[in-house]
Amino acid sequence: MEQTVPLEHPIRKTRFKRLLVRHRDAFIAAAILGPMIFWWLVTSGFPTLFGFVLGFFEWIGIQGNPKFIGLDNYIRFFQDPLYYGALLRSIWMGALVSITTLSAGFGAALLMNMPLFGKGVYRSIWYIPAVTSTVATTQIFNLLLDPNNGMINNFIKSMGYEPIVWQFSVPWSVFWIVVYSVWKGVGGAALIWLAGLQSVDVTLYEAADIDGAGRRQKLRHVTIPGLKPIATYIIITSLIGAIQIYEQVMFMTGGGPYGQTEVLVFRIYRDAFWDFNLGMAGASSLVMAVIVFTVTTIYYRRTTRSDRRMTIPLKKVK
Amino acid sequence: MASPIVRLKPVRKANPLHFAAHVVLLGVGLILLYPLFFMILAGFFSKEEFSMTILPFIPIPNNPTLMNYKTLIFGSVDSSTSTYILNSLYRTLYNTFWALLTSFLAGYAFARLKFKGKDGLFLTLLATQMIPGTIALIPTYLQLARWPYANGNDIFTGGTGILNTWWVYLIGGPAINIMGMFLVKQSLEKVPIELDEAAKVDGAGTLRLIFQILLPLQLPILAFVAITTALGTWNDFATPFFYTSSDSLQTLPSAITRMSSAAIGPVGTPNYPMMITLGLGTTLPALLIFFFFQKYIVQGLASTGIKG
Amino acid sequence: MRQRAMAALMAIALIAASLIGCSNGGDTKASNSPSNNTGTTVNPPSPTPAGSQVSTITVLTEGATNVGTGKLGDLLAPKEKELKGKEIDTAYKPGSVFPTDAFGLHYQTIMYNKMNEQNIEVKMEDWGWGEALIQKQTAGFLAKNTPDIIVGETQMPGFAQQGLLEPFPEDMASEIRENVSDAAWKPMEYNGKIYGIAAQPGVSSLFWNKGLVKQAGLDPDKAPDSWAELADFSKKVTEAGNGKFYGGGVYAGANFGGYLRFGALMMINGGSFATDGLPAFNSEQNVETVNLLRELNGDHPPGLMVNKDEGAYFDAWYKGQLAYIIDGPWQSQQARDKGIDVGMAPIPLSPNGKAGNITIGAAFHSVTKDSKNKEAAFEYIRAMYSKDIQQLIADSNVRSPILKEVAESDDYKTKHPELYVHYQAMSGNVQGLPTFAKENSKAWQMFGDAVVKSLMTKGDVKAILDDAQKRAEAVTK
Repeated sequence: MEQTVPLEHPIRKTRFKRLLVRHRDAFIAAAILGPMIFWWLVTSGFPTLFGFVLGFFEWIGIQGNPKFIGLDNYIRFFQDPLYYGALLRSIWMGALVSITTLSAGFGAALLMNMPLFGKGVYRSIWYIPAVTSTVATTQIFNLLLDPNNGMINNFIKSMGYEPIVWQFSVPWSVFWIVVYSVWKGVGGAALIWLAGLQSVDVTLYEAADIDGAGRRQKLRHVTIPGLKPIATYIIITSLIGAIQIYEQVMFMTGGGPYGQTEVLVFRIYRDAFWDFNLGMAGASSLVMAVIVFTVTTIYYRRTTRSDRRMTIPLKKVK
Repeated sequence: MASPIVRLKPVRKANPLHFAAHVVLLGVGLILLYPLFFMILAGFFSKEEFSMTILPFIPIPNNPTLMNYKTLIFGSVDSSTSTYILNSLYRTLYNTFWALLTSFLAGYAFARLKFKGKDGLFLTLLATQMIPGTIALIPTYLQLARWPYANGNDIFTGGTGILNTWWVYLIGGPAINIMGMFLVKQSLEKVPIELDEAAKVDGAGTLRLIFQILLPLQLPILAFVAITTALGTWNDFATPFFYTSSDSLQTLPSAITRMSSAAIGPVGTPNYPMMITLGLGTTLPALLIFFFFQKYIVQGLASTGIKG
Repeated sequence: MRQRAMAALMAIALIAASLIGCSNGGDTKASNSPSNNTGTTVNPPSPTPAGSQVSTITVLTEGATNVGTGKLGDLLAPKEKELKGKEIDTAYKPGSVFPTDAFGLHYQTIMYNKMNEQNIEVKMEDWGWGEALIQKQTAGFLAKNTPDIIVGETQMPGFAQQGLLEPFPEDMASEIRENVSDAAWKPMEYNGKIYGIAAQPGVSSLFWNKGLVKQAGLDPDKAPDSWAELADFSKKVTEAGNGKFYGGGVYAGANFGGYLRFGALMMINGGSFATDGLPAFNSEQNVETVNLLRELNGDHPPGLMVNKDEGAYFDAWYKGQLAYIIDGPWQSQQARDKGIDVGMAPIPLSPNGKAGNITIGAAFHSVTKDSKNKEAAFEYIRAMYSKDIQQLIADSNVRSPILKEVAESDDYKTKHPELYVHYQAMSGNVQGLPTFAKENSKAWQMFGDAVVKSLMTKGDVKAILDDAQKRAEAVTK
């Protein structure tokens, strides 16, 4: 930037111009993405990383100063069943929720894809649970499941059977958490599957008709391959969403009986807000993020081997 | 469940398959609606009657009361409800505007421009969407409180920063909307690149290309981005509740959250019918947004070319 | 390329993080040493003489006395209008009854006048209650952004122990010790200092549904006077109920709703949850108490006594399915509202037991360390146990006053005999729930789960509590 060289110097100018032309895309991209990514880092990236960094500190109590302890929090995570147990539960309960939601959603999408009268109404009805407030609707489920005065147990009693204490049975607790999650998620899943079904190229079906393919063959050779990309998308987003569920656990079982339905995000929440143990909360979040990332990447690599261009969004679309 | 996936042309005559589909969609749909139906009825119970009755599946109060709904509509003390609604509306519009702008421009950059490190950057951004949000709650609070030179702060400390100001809502706007960016990128990649080239031959500049040629083609997916952002913002009670305190900054859901914590109260039994009615109150506006725009959700998603 | 982008990103964040970390650390130290106070705290010492500047304090609202948020002076008129709109009588004369719904208005009117006299302006803020409140307070303390007076229930002793609250000045503390009932401040006492007070706390009593007791052939006006008798009466009611109603006893779920209530039984039997922040689960006294709970559990519908929600437990009581329960003083009024003919008496004692209790349903008010105007804040606290406020609480007939002068007057004894009995139970061995030295919620969870397990399984109670003790010791040390 020596000011002795005037900017209009012919050689300089052409060089600069050439640079500009050669990297034109990069300049435009920087102009578009630079500010918004920078701002995202400031408002969103930074607090998250700050949380992660705390995972390497012992910071117990509000007044105490954070003390660097290296990997101790992580070692504790993998030694204490309270933590790795919660992680395992997050994974298998998340998988259960995902699988159920996706298959039910797929079935519904097949039906909604038919040229039915009033299908918009169906879509809306099915989607309504997704926009309800979790606090209020879990309350309704709790009323239904009250062991003593709940509607379901009253029904069971009126049939002449013994009432079931749902909350003190692990399988039943898990079952109802899954039912609640499916109730809330199935409409959204159905919509996404539906979008997938509608994006399958119609001409392929026509071609299959000409080739004299039956229903099954069409399903196998046209629909399923056509759905593969959206399947990748929806499976991964729903897994990520399901592995992070905690509100329904908090409100429906409170992690009980005896902590056997406790999931990791609930643990993180309690570490941060009930025990002021921000170190463990940060460490647990990082472990969670790494695991979700790994699973997603592996799954993504496997399913998209044939189509490298396809990339996936990683947050559940509401 | 292996019914055919063939796209049938609309037919008028009765089709047994369609009839079955109607039955299933409607039947299961009604079951899905049951909790909502229960909530609406429960709202007509007084606290006393609600806890004294052994509730059947369809609860009908003997002495119906409108008190819960009145509280929901008129608020518990004064009539700040209009403030809450306006705040919710401003927030929703503001966030939706930025979501549209950032996701369209960023989607364009990732779909059409060539630059070094594009894939890495893209994946990094996507990866951040997998982190449990709980972790950022307290750091964000600290950040807002320590915002340099705001409200009595020196470089970091001393005052309350931008907590409890409108900035809490404004600050996040210009940041990149990662989900929207992804969806627009997917959708744009379906638009043949030849279109860009043709436009350039016709002498269109970059800006004209982006806003006059590509933008109109992206309307379905942008509609989808707009709806999801609007729904998300409208339903978000945590941001106002957590980062602001004054009444004039509350939104509808956060005000309702406050009212429900008053319904839980310090002791004794919570006022269930009140909590349930308030819960219904947050749901309804979101439901309306969805109802009017639901067809764009499918259209928009179908257009992203999440497609082989 | 991806790695490089990631590395750059990490680097930026780490630098920024360390910056904030430093400032946070330094800041914390500053507030710990009193000599290093910032300019703002060294306010004019006290706003005593009339005409001096008005000082403003921010106070959190709490359910019973809530009239809305904003400047207190601006809230009273609209509130009165609202009550009048509901046709509720808003007149109040000390010594006479008034509608319960008007309590908040009267309470805040008195507070407003008292503060106004001293040139203190009060601003009310609503931070919610329960879980949401705790979240916000935690973050608020971290960022040193708290109101001058915060309010809360079971989380407050923990805040005191962490040094986040300002101890009451010596003269005020001794005044409180002398004139105010133990239940109001004992739970907030730590290392010989008082950190908070509740204007109308409760302690638990035994309540019974006279109708059900009568159906079991028992005297509906006689309270059981020993643990054995309680268990015996309860059993008789269960037999008479034949699956329609049960004897009941006490809620024992693994949450604060349970600990606060069956904790009273533990206190009576000389047991405790913790000593000096370390768990004390498996004492002989506790085993005896849990054995009583196990016996009572048989007189409940399956699972109800340890239901996750205390709400479900009290619903069963309101539905006339339980004969005996232990709860705070408000229960007498609430049960009557639901048409239950209710009896109320002190909780019966165990063979070697002495009266003891746990403060329940208390909204403790404390001045925060970060408060910029502590003088004025303490004036507010002082007004909470003033005669006017306490007389109002006495007249409300829902809770008992804490000021001895008011509660021990003949007027109160004759007008509110039931709540006078409750007032008496608020003195003596009344405690709050302890806070464990570390991992507080985990230690509580271990205890709660152990009690639930003792009730829901046939395992040896001592062994179950021993196991919980061992695990809790491991996390709290």
